[in-house]
Amino acid sequence: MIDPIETFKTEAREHLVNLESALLELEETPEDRDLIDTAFRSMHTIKGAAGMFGYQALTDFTHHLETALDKVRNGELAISKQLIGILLDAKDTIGESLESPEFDSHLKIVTNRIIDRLYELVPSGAQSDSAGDNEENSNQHSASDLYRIIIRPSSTTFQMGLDIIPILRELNGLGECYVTTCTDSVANIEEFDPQLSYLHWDIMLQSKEPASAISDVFMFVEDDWDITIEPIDLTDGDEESDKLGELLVSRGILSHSQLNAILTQKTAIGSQITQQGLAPESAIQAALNEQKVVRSLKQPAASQDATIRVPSSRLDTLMNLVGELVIVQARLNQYAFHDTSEELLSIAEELDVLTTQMRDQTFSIRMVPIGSTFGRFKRLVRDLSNELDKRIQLETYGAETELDKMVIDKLSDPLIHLIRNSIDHGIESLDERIAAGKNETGTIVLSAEHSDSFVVIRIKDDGAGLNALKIRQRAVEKGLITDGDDLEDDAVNNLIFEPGFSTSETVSDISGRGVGMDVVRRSIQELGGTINIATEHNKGTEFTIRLPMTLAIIEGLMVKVGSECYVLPLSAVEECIELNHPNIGSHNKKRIVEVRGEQVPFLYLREWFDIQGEPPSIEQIVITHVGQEQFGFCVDEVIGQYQTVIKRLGKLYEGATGFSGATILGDGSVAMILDPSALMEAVGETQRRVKRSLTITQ
Amino acid sequence: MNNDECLQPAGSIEMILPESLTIFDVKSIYAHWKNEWRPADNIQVDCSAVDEIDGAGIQLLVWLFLEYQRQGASLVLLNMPAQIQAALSLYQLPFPWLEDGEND
Repeated sequence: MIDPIETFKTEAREHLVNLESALLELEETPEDRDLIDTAFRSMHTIKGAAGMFGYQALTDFTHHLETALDKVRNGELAISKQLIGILLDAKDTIGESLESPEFDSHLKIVTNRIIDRLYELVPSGAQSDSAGDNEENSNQHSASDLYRIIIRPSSTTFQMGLDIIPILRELNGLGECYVTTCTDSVANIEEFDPQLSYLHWDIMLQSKEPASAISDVFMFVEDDWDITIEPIDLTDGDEESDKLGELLVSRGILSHSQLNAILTQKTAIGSQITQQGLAPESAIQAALNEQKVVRSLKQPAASQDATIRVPSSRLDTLMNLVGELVIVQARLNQYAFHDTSEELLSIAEELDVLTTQMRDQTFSIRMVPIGSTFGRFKRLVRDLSNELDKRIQLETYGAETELDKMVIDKLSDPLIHLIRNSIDHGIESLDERIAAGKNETGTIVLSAEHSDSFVVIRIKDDGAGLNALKIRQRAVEKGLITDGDDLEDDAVNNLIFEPGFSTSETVSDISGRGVGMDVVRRSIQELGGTINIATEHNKGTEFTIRLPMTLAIIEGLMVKVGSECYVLPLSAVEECIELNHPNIGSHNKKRIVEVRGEQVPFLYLREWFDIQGEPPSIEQIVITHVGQEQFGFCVDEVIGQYQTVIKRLGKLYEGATGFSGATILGDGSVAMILDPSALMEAVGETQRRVKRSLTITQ
Repeated sequence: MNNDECLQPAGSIEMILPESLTIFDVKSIYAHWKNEWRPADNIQVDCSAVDEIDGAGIQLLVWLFLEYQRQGASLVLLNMPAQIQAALSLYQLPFPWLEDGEND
């Protein structure tokens, strides 16, 4: 069971993320009512939950902030850069305080400073509003925006000059009104006196106004009329509470025993009650009105309730178990295939379908929209650009793109580093941008999209672009290359990923220590991804990251070389072709094959892994793509598609290039999972040294 | 003020409401209706002249509708001015008494 306090902290952090995101957007669109409401609701919920757990200091602090946001909602306080700054600092402080919600002396000082800054902005009277009216305020803003109002005018109300029409009109002005006019007391022709009042009203009012505003409507009639105003609790958690029978019991119209007797019959409860004379029709109608409104309001809450919170470690365990299941399934398939029992084969096939479905479902549980990390980048850009006195805006696209939660968690730091670099080194200072004829505000675009089974993330800035000359000079200084090395621009640009490389003139707190880009590349590679740079002088730089959607199980293509099995990621495979030319001149491991007029380099895996024995007379080349490039792998045999459970290689294999992991086959043996990108790079490196190639025409 | 009723063949009654239907008028209107009361199947109430109405007036209309309903008759409000319809709509009555058969 999850500790309720941990749940509170987790949920509070989620509300803080929403709050931060709303505040950052409000800075750009200060009139956006939805954003104001989101910020208010987040703060209100944190305050309420903190109070529930007895964290008084946190409750008090958030109360001040909630009051300020309420004033924004009511139009008494305008959104300003200064206010956003204070609220963002407050958000950070709340986040910090979640570690120990009973404030220590440091937090007390920090929160007091924030409150002081806040009240310098808030109009007079705000302090008194928030200083000691916790109870009143929380009453005013109860969790429910729904009220039940019963109005029973006195019988002589018309003669006293009072009327219901202006009251109903005012209530309609406060929100959505669902009125039941109860006519049950209207006398018949013999007894009716038209100057007396017989009607009464049962109203459901959905309003964002505080209860006091509703009470004010009855200011002039409250002494003579019987008025009841009750907030409806939409969060009672009782699934039965909005059923008609229960509503009538709660309204005092039916007793429980009457309800139980009626429920034993099969006809509609409402008509039974009226037929039996237990309640007038208007009372049923009023209860039905309440049921309709409550259900419509509960619906969004119910759909939220349909999710459950589990520790991510349990998902990891589930994923591991599914992985093991897939391995056992492979074993069963192999056994069933070689067995004579058709029934066994049929069971294995059926189980195989279920296992695949289970795998896919388990995957989907772990998928999280990448947009959940975008909020922090907006904050990063805002804070750092202020610090560096630059004008920078962050545009984000594809927030809905989903990635495995583990990938997203590990991706956060590299992305932060790349964005920091763009802010610090990429986007020029205000003066430089003006001199270059550029817009004063620099733009960083962060986008994500699906491409095959990969996710492509781009970080693009419209800054100065990489300075190849400077990079080359620094690389020579660092001994990474020599003066005489003839490197193409791409190769020069890629030098920034070398350990310890930095062209920054000064080391700042933000970047420039040269300890980042190599870590960025390594982190991306550890996730099975690649990172590329495209840059243009005075136009900007774009980093493109390609990542697999998951790190747990992939669809693979099993191939065999000698007695060894290997797996290639199926998402990278384009086609398989036969190679029936004799193997000649094999000093060089990389060759070229011509496929439909295109020359595609390929690698003899037999040679690369130094596998002994004779190759078959007809070999196979598996053509893969890495980004835009094609690359082939020559193997003895293509076995077929294979669900591949990725097992990480241990520390012993840290230096082995060309593998993204290993998998266990049905017979218990191990197959290495090839990383086409890494192999291509490794071969290219060898190639540069050998500087020789041989073309085979298919 | 004209609150005469014209007897129609086959149990139909057409009623014309006066200009004002407020606490100051309901007593006399009710007295007249009561005196002239006769059973009918369909009652058509012309509201076009109504210029002023209050809670007492609406209650009187409600009473009229319910009384005929008790007797198994149907009542329809015709030619209703917008301001009267707006006042009636505040009550959200479930009566099918508007011309198009809608509730107010």
